Amino acid sequence: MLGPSASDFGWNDDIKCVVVEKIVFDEWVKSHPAAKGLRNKHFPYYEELGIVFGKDRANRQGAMRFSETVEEIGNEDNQHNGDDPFYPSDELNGNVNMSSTNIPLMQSRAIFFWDPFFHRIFVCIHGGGSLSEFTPAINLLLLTHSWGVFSVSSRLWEIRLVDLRLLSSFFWVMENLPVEVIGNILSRLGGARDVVIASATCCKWRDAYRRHLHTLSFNSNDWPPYRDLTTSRLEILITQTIFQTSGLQGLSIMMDDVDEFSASTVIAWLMYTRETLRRLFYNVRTTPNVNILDICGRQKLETLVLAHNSITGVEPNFQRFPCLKSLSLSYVSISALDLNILLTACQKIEILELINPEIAMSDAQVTVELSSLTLKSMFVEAISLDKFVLEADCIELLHLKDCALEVFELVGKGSLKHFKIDDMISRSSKLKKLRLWDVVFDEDEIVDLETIAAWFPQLNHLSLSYDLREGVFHYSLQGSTNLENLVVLELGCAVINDLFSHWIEGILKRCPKLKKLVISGVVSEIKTHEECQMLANFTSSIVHLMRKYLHVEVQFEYE
Amino acid sequence: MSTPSVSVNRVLKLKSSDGEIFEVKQTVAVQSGVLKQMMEDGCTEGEIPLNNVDSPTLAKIIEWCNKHHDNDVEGRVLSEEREKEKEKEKAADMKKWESEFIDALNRDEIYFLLTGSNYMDIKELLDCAAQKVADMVKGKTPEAIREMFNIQSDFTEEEEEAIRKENQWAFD
Repeated sequence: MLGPSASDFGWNDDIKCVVVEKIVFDEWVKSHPAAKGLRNKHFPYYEELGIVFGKDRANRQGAMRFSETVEEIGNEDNQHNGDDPFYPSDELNGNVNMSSTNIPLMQSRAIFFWDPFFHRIFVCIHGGGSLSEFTPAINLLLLTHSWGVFSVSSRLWEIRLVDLRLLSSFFWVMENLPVEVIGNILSRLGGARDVVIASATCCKWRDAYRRHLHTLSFNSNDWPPYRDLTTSRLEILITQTIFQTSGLQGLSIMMDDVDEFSASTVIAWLMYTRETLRRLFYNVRTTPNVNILDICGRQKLETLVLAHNSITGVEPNFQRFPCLKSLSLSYVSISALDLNILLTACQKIEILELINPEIAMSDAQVTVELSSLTLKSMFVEAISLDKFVLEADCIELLHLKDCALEVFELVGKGSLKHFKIDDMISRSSKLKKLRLWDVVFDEDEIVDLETIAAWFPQLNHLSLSYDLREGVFHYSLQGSTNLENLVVLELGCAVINDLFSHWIEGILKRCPKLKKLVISGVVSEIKTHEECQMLANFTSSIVHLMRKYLHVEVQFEYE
Repeated sequence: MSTPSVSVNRVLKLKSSDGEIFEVKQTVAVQSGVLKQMMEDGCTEGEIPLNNVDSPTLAKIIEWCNKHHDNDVEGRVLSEEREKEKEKEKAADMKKWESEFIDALNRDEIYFLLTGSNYMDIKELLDCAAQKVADMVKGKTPEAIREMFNIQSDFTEEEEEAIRKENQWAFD
């Protein structure tokens, strides 16, 4: 095949490319613009082709009959002349059909140029041969790599990956998927057990598991037998599995039935993964307590969902959690001071969830004061405080559930007993959704419409559920400012009565752009005649009322 | 997403491996990390050859990108109108559209989508296709996975034994 003996070009075996004298090449390129830049390009398949071609030569006993017709597509063929080093001078006409030509093999040369940028090969036939002479070699490419052959001119062909589906079977494809894509697929299987099993498919999948798995989770809901394993058995299998991987970005260990893991084991998991970890879900207690946030939070951690643990000794002077955006703490014990400092240490935090926190206090009054410049969403469930102050300039969504608060100051939302009107308007102006549902407020501490309208000019979704008593009713409707942007209004009441319908009427008047109204109420199981009458009256009055608001969609939700 | 060279009306000409030309708005094409980079480098003149992506796959990829682009634009307008509810509906609609898009593909097509989106660096599409394959693989034994994808195990018996032993809990 191609070798140092070729006159104008040579094969350099060290660098695996065709070496062409520049002057020769330049001349040739003038008539072959498509080949520009191909000189001396690396071609890794050369040896493979050589082997196959060699076999073919032996089989054909030194001579070859062309069996195929090569159609020419190139439009430059008519311009060929004797100066073309790749175009034999005895075939100046560049005719298409060469099927009848009988050419001794040794005279023809195929030169392969590898174009690494576009992953293509140019094949140039030299010495009176034709492409079909090299078909066996090219067929190897076609079969094993699914390449297509394109004629550039009668002497130059381009081979590149094409129309994969003609030759594909999914088997071929799966084998050829990049290993990081397989890692991505494995990461999406969910439970660790499925991942481990799938990793035994073949070496490549095993490799993907070891080097490219980005998410691993051990959740008791994934696989019931987890619940039957002893704690130490669980610790061992989790340790073994984690240590087979590298570069994990997401780790979830949510074992509902485990009382306690050993601290040293948990530290080992976290230390092994913390350099790359972005998402951590963990819900098992340890003794002694492991400061999970401190171990993992300082690198890349973005999301932490932590339960049944405690956070202590947050030190904002040297602790920073630079990437943490989402923090969820359930049944986590933390002091009010630490919680406050923690938010300061999370300079990118956007989402905070506090569910049934155990808030340790130093003084008699249970007070939590939180402040964040970045917080956008906050969910608080089952919290009981004397005073809860949230200062959040960017807050967009606040959801309080089953909370008992004496004082609720929301800079970024309504507060109840001790309003701080200054600053409030500008700071809370971005709030779009306000939900005050089943929040227990003392009389006169209720968030009134005037306050809501003034503080939250952007509000488009308001949910209020109050225990309406005479005083509360009037107080809540005070003022006359409209809720200019309100689109969805949800109203609830502990007791369905006339007061509720009057309240609804009062609020509706103030919502010029309202499109949807949801009315929620509680209907007791045993109804007295009086209650039934009340419900009927309520229904009639709402029907009557809504005639005035035909464009508002009404929905009822009773429990 | 805005780079100086990206304008709303300009189009890129993408050439698939089988030579078909597809025109894509630049604002849509930025979803591909590769094309975005090319635009930033200012080298998107003429046809851009995508030699690892054939025309049926490229058509699918562009369908995906157009859909997600349209949704983005609508989403912005809506949030200006402060209709968060509708935005949520939009997100749900998009999820539905995505799952219908993926479910309509056969295994080969999903493969081409995987390689194509990987090559063009379109993360959301790659993740969506990878999730689809993951759903197919989930809960299957190695033997079943090999059968499903015609994968030949290239482990030696000893290697396979070692893997099963190392992870015995999963295979019990």
